[in-house]
Amino acid sequence: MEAVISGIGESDYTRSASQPMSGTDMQLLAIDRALKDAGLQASQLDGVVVPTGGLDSDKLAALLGLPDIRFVANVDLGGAAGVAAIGVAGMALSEGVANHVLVVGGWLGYSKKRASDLMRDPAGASLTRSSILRDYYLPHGAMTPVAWYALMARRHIHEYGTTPEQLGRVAITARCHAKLNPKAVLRDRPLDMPSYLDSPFVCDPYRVADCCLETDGMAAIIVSRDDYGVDTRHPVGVMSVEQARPDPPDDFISRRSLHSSIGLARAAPRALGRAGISPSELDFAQIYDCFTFEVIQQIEAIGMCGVGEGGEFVEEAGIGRSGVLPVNTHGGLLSEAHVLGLNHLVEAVRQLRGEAGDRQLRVAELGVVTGWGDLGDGSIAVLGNAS
Amino acid sequence: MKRVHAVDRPLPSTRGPSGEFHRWCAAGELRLQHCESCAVVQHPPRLRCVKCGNHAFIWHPWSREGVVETYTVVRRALSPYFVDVPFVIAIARLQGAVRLLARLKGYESTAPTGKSLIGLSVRIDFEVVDDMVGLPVFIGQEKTWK
Repeated sequence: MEAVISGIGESDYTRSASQPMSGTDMQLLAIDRALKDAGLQASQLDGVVVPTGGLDSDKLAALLGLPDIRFVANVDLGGAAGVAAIGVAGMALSEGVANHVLVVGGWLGYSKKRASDLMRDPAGASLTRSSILRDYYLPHGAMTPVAWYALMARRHIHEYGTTPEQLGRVAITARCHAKLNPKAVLRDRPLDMPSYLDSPFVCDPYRVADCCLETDGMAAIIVSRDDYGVDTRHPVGVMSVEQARPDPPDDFISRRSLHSSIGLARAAPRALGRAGISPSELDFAQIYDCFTFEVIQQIEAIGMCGVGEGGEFVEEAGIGRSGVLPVNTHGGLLSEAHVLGLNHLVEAVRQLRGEAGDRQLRVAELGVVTGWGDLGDGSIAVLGNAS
Repeated sequence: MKRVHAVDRPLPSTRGPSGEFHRWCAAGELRLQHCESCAVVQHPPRLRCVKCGNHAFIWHPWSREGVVETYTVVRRALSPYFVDVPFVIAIARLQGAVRLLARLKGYESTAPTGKSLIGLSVRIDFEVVDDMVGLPVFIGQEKTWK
C-alpha cells in the first residue's frame, strides 16, 4: 500500500494587521477546500496529525463533527513538522488504523503571533523550550533564528567562497516565481540584484531580503490509502518520507560542522534510497526557505552537489523554472507566504497534478519537499505523479 | 573585569550544569566539564557525558585563548533586551576543539569590504552580572579586521 495525497486546501494568504478571520476559521476553510478537492466528506476523516503550531485536535474533531477519530498525533519539529506529519499519516495508513488522515496547520504569523515579537520573552520560552538556547545563546544576544543561521552561513562563506550574489540569486528566483502565483504575497514586488544588494543587513550576512515573510495563512492536506476507492482525479503518490535530527539536535555549536551537520543530510539519502531514485531524477524541489542560505545548505544535503558547491549550483546549474532543479515554484516562504512549509507541500501536489497554472513546469513527475526546523531538524517527502 | 548591575534581560539558569559553568565565570574563571570516567571535555555542559553516559564531572580550568570560527554583526535591534546595535556575536574554537559562543567586543563598526573576523585571536574575559552569573566575552587580540 502506498499513501497518496488525495486533497489539498488553503486559506487566503495575507499580510494585514486587521485579520477578519480567526485562526480556527481559516483552518476550517482550508480543511473544507481540501475535502472538496479530495471528494470526501468530513465524516470520512478518521485520523488527524497536527504539526507544530496547529490547532488542538480535540477541538478540531468537535468542530468538524468527526464521529470516530481513531488516530491522532502531534508532530513537534518546528518548520520540519509539516513534511514529517505526512510521514506519520502514511504510517497510520499502512498500519491500517486509519483511511483518511488530515494534516492541517499554519499560523497567524502577521496579525497575531509575529515571529519578531517572540523575541520579547526574555526566557525565550515562546520561541523554544531548549535549555541550551536559554543558557548559552540568548544571554549573548543570539536571540533569533536569523542570528543563529547567519553564524552558519558566515562559516560556509568563509570555507567555500559563497558570495552575496549567490544568496541573492535564491531570493530573486523566489520573487520571480512569485510573480506567476496569484496567491503570492509579494507577486507585485520585483527584486533584482542591485536592490537585493541594497537591502539592509539584519544579521550579517543576512539582509532583509534573505529573510522569510511574516504572513497569515493556513493549509490542509489529506493523506489517504491508495486503495480507498473514491475517484481521486489526480492522486499524488507519497513514495517516502524521512525525518532526522542533527547530532546534537539542541546545539549547533558543538556539531562536527557548523553548517553541514544538519538533519536533512541524513534524511535525504534515506528518503531517496527508499524511493529508489537519485537526486538527478528530480523535476523540482520545494525547499523550506526560512532564509536564503538554508536553501543552499539543503540543496547540498539533498545531494544535488557536494558540500560547499551549493552557491555555485544556484548560480550556474540554476534553481529557476528552466534550471537544473527548479526550487520553490510558488515563491516559497520568502515570497509566497510563511505557512510553516505546508504551502510547499501544496505546491508540490499542484505541480505533480499539472494544475499549477501559469507556473506549471513542463515536466513535473517526481519531486521532493523539505522541512527545516529549530536548529536544523530536517524532513523530506519524495512525491510522484501516480498516473 | 567589569561588574555590571543585573538588568532585565535573558540570563542563563543558575541551576544544574549551567549554574556551575556561569558561577565559575562570575568568579573570573573559565572551567569546562571534564568527564571523570572517559575524560571527554564537553561544552555546553550537560547532566550526563554525551560520550559515555557518566554523570560525575570535574570542572577543569581551561585556556582562555581562542580563535574566531564564525560571527555575525547584529545590525537590527531584534529584541528589546539588546537594542544597542550593532554588536558582534562570535563562535570561537578553544583548546581541545571545544567551541564557545559569546559577544565579541570592539569590532562593531561596518566591516571593510572583503574583510572578516574569522581567524581573529581572542581572549576570554567575563561580564559579571552578579555572584551567581558571569558571561564569557571575547576580547580581540588584534586591532583590525582580518
